[in-house]
Order: sequence, then C-alpha cells, then structure tokens
Amino acid sequence: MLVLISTISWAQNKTISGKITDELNEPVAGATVVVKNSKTGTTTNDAGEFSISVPASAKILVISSVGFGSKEVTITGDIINVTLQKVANANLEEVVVVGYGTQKKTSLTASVASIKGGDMKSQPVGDLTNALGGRASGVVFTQGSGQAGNDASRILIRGIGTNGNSAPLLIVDGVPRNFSQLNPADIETISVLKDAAAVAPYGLGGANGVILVTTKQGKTGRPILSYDGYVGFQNPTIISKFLDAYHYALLKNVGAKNAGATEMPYSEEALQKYRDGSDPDAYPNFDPIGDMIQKNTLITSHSLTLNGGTDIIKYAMGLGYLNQEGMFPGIQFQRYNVSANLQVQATKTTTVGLSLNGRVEKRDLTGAGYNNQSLFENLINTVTNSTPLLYSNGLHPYMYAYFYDNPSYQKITGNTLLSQLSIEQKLPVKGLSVKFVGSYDFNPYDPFNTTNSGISSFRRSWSQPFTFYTIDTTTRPYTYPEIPITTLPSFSQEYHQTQAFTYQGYINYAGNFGRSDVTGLVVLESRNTNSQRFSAGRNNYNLPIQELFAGGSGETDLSNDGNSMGTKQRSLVYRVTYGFDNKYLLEASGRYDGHYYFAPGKRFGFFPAFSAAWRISQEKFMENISWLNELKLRASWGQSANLAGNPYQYQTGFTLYGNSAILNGSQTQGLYERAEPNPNITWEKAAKTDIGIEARLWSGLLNIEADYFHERRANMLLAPNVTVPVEYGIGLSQVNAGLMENRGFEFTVSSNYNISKDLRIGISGNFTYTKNKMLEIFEDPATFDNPNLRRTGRPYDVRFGYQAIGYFTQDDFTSSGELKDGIAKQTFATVYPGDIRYADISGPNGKPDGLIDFNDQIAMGNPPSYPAIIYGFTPSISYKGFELSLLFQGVGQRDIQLANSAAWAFDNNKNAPITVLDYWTPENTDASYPRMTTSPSPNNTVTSTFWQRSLAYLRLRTGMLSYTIPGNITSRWGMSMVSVYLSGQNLITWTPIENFDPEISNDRGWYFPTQKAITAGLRVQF
Amino acid sequence: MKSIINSGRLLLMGAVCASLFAGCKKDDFLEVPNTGAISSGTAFSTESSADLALNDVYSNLPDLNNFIFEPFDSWTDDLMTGFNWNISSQVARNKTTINSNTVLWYDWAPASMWLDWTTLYARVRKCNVFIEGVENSDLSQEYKDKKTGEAKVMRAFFYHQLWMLYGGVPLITKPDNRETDGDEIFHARASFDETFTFIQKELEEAAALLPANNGNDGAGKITRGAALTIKGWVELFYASKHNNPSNDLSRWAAAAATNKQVMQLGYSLYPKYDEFFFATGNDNNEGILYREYLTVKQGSNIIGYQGPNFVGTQWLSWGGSTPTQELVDDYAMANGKAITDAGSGYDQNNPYANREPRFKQSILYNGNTFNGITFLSAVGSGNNAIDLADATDNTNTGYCTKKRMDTTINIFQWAASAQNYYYFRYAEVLLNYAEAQNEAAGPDASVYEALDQIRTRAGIPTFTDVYPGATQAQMRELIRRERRVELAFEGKRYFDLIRWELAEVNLNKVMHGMKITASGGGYTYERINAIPSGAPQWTFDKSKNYLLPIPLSALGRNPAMKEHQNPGYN
Repeated sequence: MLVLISTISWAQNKTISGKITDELNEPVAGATVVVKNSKTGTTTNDAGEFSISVPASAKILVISSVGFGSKEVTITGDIINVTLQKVANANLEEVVVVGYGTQKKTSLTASVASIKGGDMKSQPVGDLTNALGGRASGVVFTQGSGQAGNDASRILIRGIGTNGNSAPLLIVDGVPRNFSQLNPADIETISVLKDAAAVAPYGLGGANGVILVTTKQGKTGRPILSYDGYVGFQNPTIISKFLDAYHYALLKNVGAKNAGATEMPYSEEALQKYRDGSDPDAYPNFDPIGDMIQKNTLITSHSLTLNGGTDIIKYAMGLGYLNQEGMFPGIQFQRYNVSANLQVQATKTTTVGLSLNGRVEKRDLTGAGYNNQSLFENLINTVTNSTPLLYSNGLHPYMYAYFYDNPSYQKITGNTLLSQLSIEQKLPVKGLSVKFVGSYDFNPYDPFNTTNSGISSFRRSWSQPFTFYTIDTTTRPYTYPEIPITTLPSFSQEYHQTQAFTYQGYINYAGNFGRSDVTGLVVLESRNTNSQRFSAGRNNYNLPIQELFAGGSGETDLSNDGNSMGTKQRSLVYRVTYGFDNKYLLEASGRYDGHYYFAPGKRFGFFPAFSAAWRISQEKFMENISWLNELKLRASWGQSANLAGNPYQYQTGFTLYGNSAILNGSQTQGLYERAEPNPNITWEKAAKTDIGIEARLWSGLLNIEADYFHERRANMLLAPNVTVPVEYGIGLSQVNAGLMENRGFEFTVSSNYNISKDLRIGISGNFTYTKNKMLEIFEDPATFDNPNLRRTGRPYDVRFGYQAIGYFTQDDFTSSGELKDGIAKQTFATVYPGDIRYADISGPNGKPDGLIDFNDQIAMGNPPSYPAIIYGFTPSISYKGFELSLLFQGVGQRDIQLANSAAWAFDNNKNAPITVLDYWTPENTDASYPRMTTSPSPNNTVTSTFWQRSLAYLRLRTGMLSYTIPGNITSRWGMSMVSVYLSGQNLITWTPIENFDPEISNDRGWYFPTQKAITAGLRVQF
Repeated sequence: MKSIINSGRLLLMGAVCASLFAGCKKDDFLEVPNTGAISSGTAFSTESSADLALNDVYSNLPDLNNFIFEPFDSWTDDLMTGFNWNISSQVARNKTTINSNTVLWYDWAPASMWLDWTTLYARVRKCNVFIEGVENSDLSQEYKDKKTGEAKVMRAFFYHQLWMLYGGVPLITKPDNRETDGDEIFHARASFDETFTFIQKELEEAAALLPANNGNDGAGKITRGAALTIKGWVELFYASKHNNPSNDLSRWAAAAATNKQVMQLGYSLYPKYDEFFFATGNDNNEGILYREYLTVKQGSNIIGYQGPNFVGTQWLSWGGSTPTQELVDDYAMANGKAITDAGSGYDQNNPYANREPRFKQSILYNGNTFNGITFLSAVGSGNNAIDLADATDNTNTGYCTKKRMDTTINIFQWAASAQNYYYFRYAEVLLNYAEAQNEAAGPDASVYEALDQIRTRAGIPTFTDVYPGATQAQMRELIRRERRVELAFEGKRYFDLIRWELAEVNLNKVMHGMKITASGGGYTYERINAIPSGAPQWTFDKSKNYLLPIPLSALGRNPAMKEHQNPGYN
C-alpha cells in the first residue's frame, strides 16, 4: 500500500529547475529552494542552479540564502529564475565554529578568526599549513622547509607565550587531530581560537591557542559532483650561490697571502684553468646546489567531491590525490585521501552521524642519512673545485653518483583513519538535547617520528653502497679509478602505530525567555591513546633482496628495537551564555581537566573564562545611524593551561638503555639515574585578557575587527640547574618557575565593492603585532648581574653578541703592527686591518675597560624564532567570468645570525657564499666582508651585529587567475560549471636578506628553500 | 515552570558529574605506566640489576676511539691538526673565561669528551650513586666489596683527570640531594695536595677490595692492577718538577714503590708493538685499564677521524692527526741510538732509512705503506701531498699517524674495528717506574731492566747495550725520549710536558714539517715551518696555563667556588 502511494506520488511529481542570481546577475550558491509549507527542498550549486522534484500540487517555492532576503515565487512553468536582493544585516545569521559547538557571529563574545575552506582551494601546496599564512590575523605560519612531504609550517597564535611547547592545539571535527594532510576539498571552515573565552573549553591544551577544522557535511539538495585538478611546476624560491672554482682558488690565495704564506695554494696556471675551464676534470667547477637540484619538478592534484542529501540522509564524500616531486631524485610525496560524512535523521528527534576520513601518505626520501638539513649541509660543504658534476668521459664522481646513481632509499608510508560516530537526541524539553560522540583514530599523529612531518606507519630503508669514480691527476693521461664498494647493503624496517579513543557526552540547552536568550553546554570527555613502535634491521646483504630475512645472520648483523607509550585525559567542559535583548551578551566557559602527565593528586585543574559583549549598534540611540550596521565591543578574561614539558618528571628512578659499555667482548645494558624529580610539577598557567571591537559599515563595504590582547604565562617550565652547583652532576626536572608576558594588537579590515554589474573588487587585510617579555627566569649570576647581558626582562630567545663598528684600518695600528693606545683590545684573536672591530660597551666594573670580552655583549636585534609583526592582504577583482585573487603575506621584526657556510669564507675548509666576494682590502674599505683569510679569523666569527640579517619579507604567497565559462554554454555540455585557472604559490618575494630565502630555518643555510609553484587547473561541477 | 524543571535537570547532571570526579579524588584512573623507567629500589635489588648501573659507569670512561677529530696530543708538540679550525687547546688557553655560552662542541671538540668540568662531575655522580645504592642494598658483602672497589677506581680516575687539568677540586663522595643536604651541596675546592691525598687513599682502599690481574670476571673490568697503576701515575705526577719544586725525594720513592707493586702482578708486554693497538691484539696481558669496542655496532672509528686523508685515491678521513718533525726526530735509529748520537748513521738526505721499527709502525711518512698502499706526501705527489699553504685538510708537516690505525679490518666501513682504547698499559708502568726510580735512587739496574723490556719488545738494542753507565741526568733525558716515542698519540704527552715544566718551553716553539720534493728519481728533504706565518701553533702562558680555567658557570653557581678561579684567569 505504501509502495503504491509513493508510486502514485512520484507519478504526480514534476521537475522544476532554474538559476538563482543576485542583483548583479551573479550566481548565488547554496541558496535554499523549498516548496512552501513542505519539507521538500534543495540547494543551489556553485553556478546558482537548482533542480527540484515537487508534487504536482505545489504552488509556491520559497527561496532564501544567507545574506539575502527570502523570496516566494509562484510555480508557473518548468524553469524558474529568481533574483535575490541583498539585505543590510546579511551576516546576522553567520555561524562560527567554536569549541564544542557553534555560535552566531553576532552573539560571539570571544576572539575567533575564521577561514573558509574554499579560500585555499586549488592552492598548489602539499601541506595545508602552507595555505593559511596571511589569511587571518593573529596566527603566523612559518615554513622552514620546502622538502616535499616534510614542509609543514610552524604555527604560532598571537606570538610566542612560552619557552616550552608553543604549538597550538589542533582539532578536527571536535577531536584532537592534525589537519595538515587533509584533502583541502574536504575542509568547510577553519576557526582560530585566540582569547581566553575561546580557548577555555580546551583547558590544559588551550593556552597556545586552538585551531578548529570542520570538514564538509552533506547539504540538502541534488547530488553535486565536483572535480578540481591542477598540474604545474615547482622551483626553489632561491638557489643559494657559492663561490665558483676560480674565485674559490683566487680567494684562497688572497687568504694565504694575508697570512704571510710564501707558497700560494693555487698557481697562476691553476687559476687560469679554473677560469677558462680548459681542463675540467683536474680543475673542475661545481655549483653545489644549482648543479644538483632538479628543476621544474611536478606537482599534481586531483580531487573529486560529492555532496547532497535529503531531509533523511545527507552525505559528503571526497577523494583526493596529490603528487609532489622533490628537489632531488628519489624525494617524492604522494597522498591519497578518502572521506565520507553521513548524517541520518533516524527519528524525528534523533540524528546519527558517521564520518570516516582516511589517507595514505607516501614519502620517499633519498638514501638513508642524507635528508633534511644534512643533504644541504653536504652540498654546501662540498668544495667547489673538488669535483665536477661529471667527468668529461661521463663517469660519475661521488656527488652525482649519490643522487643520480644510488640504489639506496627510504620509503615511508603513513596510513591514517579518523572515524567518528555521533548520536544526537532531542529531549522532550524544548531546546534540550544530548549527544554522544565516539571517535576511534588510527594513527592520528606519530609520537615516534620526530624528524619528518606526517605519519610514519611503515618505514623501509635500504642502504646500498654505490660505485663512483675519482681522478688520479698524477698520471698522464689522467686515470679515473673506480672506488670499489667495500661494504654490503643493509636494510631496516620500522612499524609505528598510534590509536586514539575519544568519547564525548554532550548536554546542550538553548532557550528563549522573553528578551533573554540562554544556552548551556556540558561535555564530559575521555581520551586515551596508545602508541607502539617496532623496528628491525640487518646488515650485510649478499643478494639485493630487500627483505629482512635476506640479510646477514651474524650477531652483529641483527638489530631490533621497540617501545610503547600511552596517554590519558579526562575532562569536563562547560559553557553558559546569557543574552539580553540581543544586546548584552555574557558568557562563562571553562574546563575541569585531568591529565596523566603529573603526580597522583596533582592531575586535575580548573580553567575558567568569562566574557561579555555589548552590541552598541542595537541600542535605540544608534537606530538613526544607518551606515553603521554593526558595532560590538567585547572583552574576555580567563585562564588556560599548557603542557609544556615531558611527562613523568615527578618520578624518581632509573632509565634502562641497551648500548652501554662493551665488557668481555659483548654489548651490555645500562641503567642511569633520571633527572632529579620534581614531585610538584604542573602545567603552565596562562591568564589571558582580550578587548575587541567589531564593526560593519555601509552594508559590508567596510568591516573592521580589532583586538588588544595581553597574556601572562606563569608556571613556565624551566630547568633549575643554575640553582645547584655544576658539580651537582645531574640534571634536574623542570620546575614551574618562569613568568612570561606577551601582548599586542591585531586588526582585520575587509571591503567589497561592486563597481558595476560585471566588475567587482574586494580586499581584506590583517595585521598583528606581538611583544613578549620574560619576567622571571633562572639566570646565571654571570649574566644577571650585568644589565647588558641580563635575560630577565627581555624578549624570549633574544640574541646576545657584540656590537660591530666597522673594520680596523691601517691607521689603528702602530708601525710595528700593535694596536694603538686607546683602542680596545679584542680577545678573540690577533687583529689586523680589515678585521671586524667591536664596541667597548662595558667591563667587569660596568664601565668600558679597553678590553673586548664577554662583558661587551649586548642584546641585539629581534629574536630569530618568531616574527613580532605579521600581516596579510588579499585583493581580488572579478569581471564577468574572470577573477583575479591575490594573497600577499609578510612578516617583520625577525632576525637571524648567519654563520659558518652561510656567511664565512672557508670555514672548516669548506666553500664560501657568494657574498664574500666583496671582501675588505685597503682599497675596498667599505666592503661587506672582512679581510680574506684561509679560514675565518675567530675575531670575525663571534656572534655580533655584523652577521645579523633581517628576515622580514613580503611575499605574493598565492595568486590565482580563473575564468568561468558562461553557464549557458556549459549547461549544453551537461555541466553546471566549468572554470579554468592559473595558480601560483610563493610567486614574488621582497626581502632584504641576500642569497637565502627569508624563511630560512638554519643559520648555516642547511635547509630546503621553499618552493615556488605555478600550476594550471580545471574545476568542473555536474 | 518549565524553566525550573530544566535547571533542576541541569543541577542533577552537575551533581552526577561532580560526584564522578569527586569519587576519584586519588585520580589513579589517570595513571599511565612509564614504560621507560624503573624505581631506585628496583635498580639495586639484585646483583644483575645493580650490574647494569655499574655498566653505565664503565660506559662513561671516555670513548677516545670515537668523535675525536682533533686528538688530545694536538695540545702538545707531537701533533698538529691537518684541518684549519681553531684548535681546542688554543681556545681553552686563550679564553679568559669559559662561560656557559661557549660553544663547547665546536670550540672544544675533544674537550667536550672528557676535559670538561661539567662532564667529569656528572661522571663522578654516577659513581657516587652506584656506591651509595649498593651500600644501602641487601646485596651480599662480597658483591658490595668488589663492585664498590670498581666504582671507586673509576671515581678516582675521573678525579685524577680533574686534578691534573684544574688543580684542587671539590671532593664529593656521595650523591648530593637538594632536599636533604641544604647548603652542603655547595662544596668548596680542596687544595691540590688534599685532592692528591684523596685520590691516593681512594685507590689504596679500592686496591684492597679488588682481585689482582688474574681472576677478574671479564675483560675490560677494573682490577687491582688498574687501581695501583693510576695510583702510581698520580704519585709520579705529584713528584714531578712542576708539582714538587723542592724535589722531595720521598714522593719519587712512593711513585716507584707503587709502580713496582704493579710490576709484581704478572703483567707482560705484548710481543708486537703495532698489533697491540689493533683488534687482533685485544687478547693481551699488557692492557691494564682500557675500554672495549664491538665491531660495527659499537666499534672504533679512530681511523675515520685520524687516519690519512686518502688511501690511494679514496678518501678516508679528515686528517686531524699530523705528527711533527720534532716527534719524528725523537725516534731512534735501528741501532738503538738517537739521531743526534755520535755514530747513529742518520742521513739528513735520507732521513727515514734505518730507523727503529716503531717509527715505521707509528708514523706515516713519505714512502711508508698504509693498508698495503704507499703513502706519499711529497710536493705534488697526489691526494696526500703536503699542504704548504694550510689551505686544505691535508697534512702540514708531511706526516700522518699510523699507530692505532687498525688496518686489519675494512678501513672504509664505519666503526668496524673492535680495537681497545688503553688508558693505562703495562709499558707505561715500566716507564713510570724507571723515571721515579731514577729520580729517587739514580739509574740503578732496575731502571735499566724496566726500560730494556720496552726496547726489546720494540725490536731495538737495549739501554743496557746502547747507554751503559748513564748518569742520572742522562738517564732522565733517555727516559723522556723513550716515553715520548713509546707512548706517542696515547694522550700522555700533554701531562708529561706539564709535570716536567716543559710546556712553557716546547709549546711556545714553531713546529716543523718536512717538505719533500722529487728530484731525479730521488727526493730532496727540507725542514720547514709547519705554519705559513712562522708563528708558534699555540702559545703557552706559564703564569696561568699550567691549569685550565674553571668554567664561569661553575664559579657563578657555587658561592663556595666563586672567588676560587685558577690564577691568571678572571
């Protein structure tokens, strides 16, 4: 009978399609189309189109969308096109994801920045953290490496608040998880929680800020299938240059001459040969980085999403693929993502949700041992005249063979599955509901993998010595002996696994009593994780079978290792809000949090926050100010905490290890005393204050949000070693003794303006300034007693060194080569004209003493680990189907002290950066490098302002030019939307630092420079 | 009405939650076992577990076959560094202050291994923790005696290093505890004499607890021989000129007597001088205190740090160990005479001919072989050619080190040798005895007898044959030269120069190398300054450099030390 009825009703249905546009004839995506007084409905796609099956009896469609007035249209035919009008208070209904829930933006009393998932779609980056910089105020992303698959940015929210772990808490769909390898197409929104009111629900995990990522949920409407794919090329933003062979030899001679040598390292003949390249095998010229890296490496991405649903069931699915080639052969990153989100209205009052999000990350590295820094270390340290790229007869010297003829590899596979089931039950009391969320994550993070970002479920490392050739220049003609392989291959395998179990029980209440709005939330949360690691290896493979069983079986050929660990956390979260007349908003939230880190009896803490907002624009007296749509003042104060150090520091005892002394010919185990315990150790405590203002003027022509923030981080963990003598002989567990202050301001401004029906421009920008001060730390009397050297009261991580005041000149010396009287003596080495001269700042008695030593150091420059200023702006312009959007991002007030191979000539007998060419001579006294020496003079290499470089930069981080083919054409192809685009990452950089990328993460230049990518892509929607 | 129900429910919920947590006040449900650690009680509950703690002390004997780019002998007139870093000795001596910001690894490469004050006191604590842990345990008295003896000898070993480098030091014999000891954790420096007496007494006591050479329960462990050998050495150090300006002969006699005691324990010299230092010579009766290695897993890589730059055309090491002409000149001729002796047969134009066997076994000179391949350092001879401009890692003297470079294994495999590192071996005991006895009683027969053993093993005519009837002063010079050669590159020379008060002389000189040029099928030899500028490689300020400066952090953190920096440093 039921079947019959439904058949009949189908028979009576008719299909209506159409397009929803705004006043400017632009499509309105996501608009709701509902049959009046029924539950039948759909939403429009990105092209503003919809198609809906309605009963024959239906008369009226109701069309609405956020930011627009709703409109009713009478059904007259099969095709209905509707134009919606924008309304002034468009974003009244805008919803923001906050901790353990959502809130209307208007009723928010906390400082939260939102980034829409769509903003970074099609951006050619592997790691999502590289797509976010500059998009929101208060959060800085520093990408220290451009190695494919290992290039995650370091994230700091509102500067740095601690000397310990400063990373924010990352949450995906309500559960602690890393988001950096999710499929960008799966991301709905990203919220950055900044002030106490926002982070209080995260208690022990909240002090460094929280980033909430929400993945896409299904939406009611017809299935929308979308494809987005791009392919393009990547190159380093900069290839650091080092001396070529001729200049290397020339400058070595200059250095030898300056040292008084009578024999020159390189003869005139050798110099000539380096210069003219006439004998490239014996007198080679090698550009260590430029010759070795792969240019124009490929980056490819494809993603497919399906989204739709009915009132009963909604679904969102995604499939993603990313392939990123590395700067060197063998380095590659591949990622496969799959996701499914289902929401089922099981009963009228029960909603069941299931979400699965899985991925495989494959990282290929070069052969064992040459990754990350050490790879660039080896290249940079290779002396430019020691080897050619290839010998003239085509034979491979070491470097070339290492990268291009080396069978060794390291392959790392990460398998991750994030799963989550939720049941929400509305209770008979209006506004009251309960929800249970159970989440099981397989490998959501990797506690064992500290060297590479991402998950390492399996690691296979094959290390096989390779053949290469050298040259014997004592024979004529030259001979090229093959360097024989002297050892057999080795192989190792490693397994990592982490499981996380998170259970959350929610009680949610929302009620309305006259002009009062009340909400309440209580969440009980329990989280356990456990992790295991196992590894095994063998040496001496007689055959190239890359399996464990095939290796040598002697005692010293075998190795294995393994360990495990776990974590536990139990928490109670609450939030209560009270709103009066939509004008006065009060909120209290917090968390009672317990963690296994600490000693029994010291595991639970309470972290409350309070906040309030006043929507001035709702006041009667503001009614007449029509250009001011929204004006809100808000303030918050609260406490949160941070787990800064390691667990178990309260425990006394001994640690067991496996490779102690060899006794009687055998390896033994050893036991050593752990650092002396601190039974009272506890979390860092942050007290955060925030005052903010939000305004919307002229119907969104200008939006402003500005905040002042202040934080005192107490209980900061410090090693109290200075409180005991050096002779004490053992490390001490950290104590909660530090105090740090961090404050600043941030603002965001955005504007959209429609110049004409076809032409629109928009811009948004943000700026953040933070300043940090260590108020209480342990300090050696040697520095504390000297006001110039005192660390207390200065910013965290500030550097100390000497004040360089130019070079010594001939005039500073007597005829016998002694420094003239009245010129301070420098204690680092004997000085000569052309050596760096330092200022005589102080002495043992606090006065200049004519001696440059320890006492003359000063705090110099800005800390290297974080910028004080960050900013970003995103201009965009669109004309008809064309759209150009740009993201500029920059930082200021960050300095580095360049050293060793990044700055000096012939340090440790290695090469020299190109910047040393402008070296001091009596004729070139305003040089940028001191006098040339065969190895750097200790006088010239001490930490000083001389080697300090600003890492400020402004970068065109992303640019995208797209063209959307008019809908009337694409619909003929059976597609609702087709768009083609060109996109780029790190396109242009303006920075004062020479020869290195401003995001350089190593003061010796041993880092993978970030990648510049240019891609072409296609978006299609069905 | 509705709202009342609502709030009632909320209250109920709140009560449930509160009781949930209140009921678990002990928060034991948050316990996660620390799988990486055991308690102090467990550590000393059984002999096998306590042994592990002692193994850790053993592993803290300095690992001098590894991580040594620049050997300690480059602080002396025996070696120079091939690479052109700031050598650590110069850094150490030049620093008016060694503060906590000094980059120890870079500036102090070898120093960080064992010369460092902080490191040495961390090692002392490990001994103290073990000794106290065993003492408070229920383990058998026999076990306690023997193992405490071993730990005490190692503690004395670390203290004797502190004492030689820094002079009198704080003497700490139990693990300090902030909570229970209060201000007593701030120890003052003992005097030089007090520190000596302490070490001497500790070793005396330990020797009584330990088995003699025979009967030790595993190679590499501490025996009575080790205890007495260290004791004999510190007594010799104490009797020597710099520390005994009035030449109190009883000090020499004490040193001679202790070394004599060791000579009665049954040690003997290994027949082959060169092989003794290789893995194939590990099984010997000459080693007294040494560290063992295990091939590949925990092997010695000394060859990769201090071997020649190249073997043929294949790169081997950074070449941090290049002997001076001064050392080369002290090797005798095959006839047992010094090159300066009348009738030695030394030929300046063919200086490496007819030299004693230890020369060929210890020094890589132009024409010697290494791993079966001829080593050439003559100008323009290829990869190992002398680096006259100090522009590369190559030798500046024309020599590389051969002694202790174990070529019996695959030299290109990382850490492939299981060769021991010898802190003390029997040959040194013989030399110590001869020196002490010569000073105390003159060159009697026992002096000759001790030295003759060394020469016989070396394969050259004995002192009895070559230098019969030497005066005490002549014998002193002979012993010094023999000691320099026999113990070359074993980290002994620096303390010899210190105690003989020769550092201020020898370490302010220009060191030399040999420039060898091929000419008409042969070579010409020219002695050259090993550093281009002609300045000494280092300077030694006799007003202060006999002791190292104490790190500023040690002075700053300990009120009892604050005003007690070594003289000359501030």
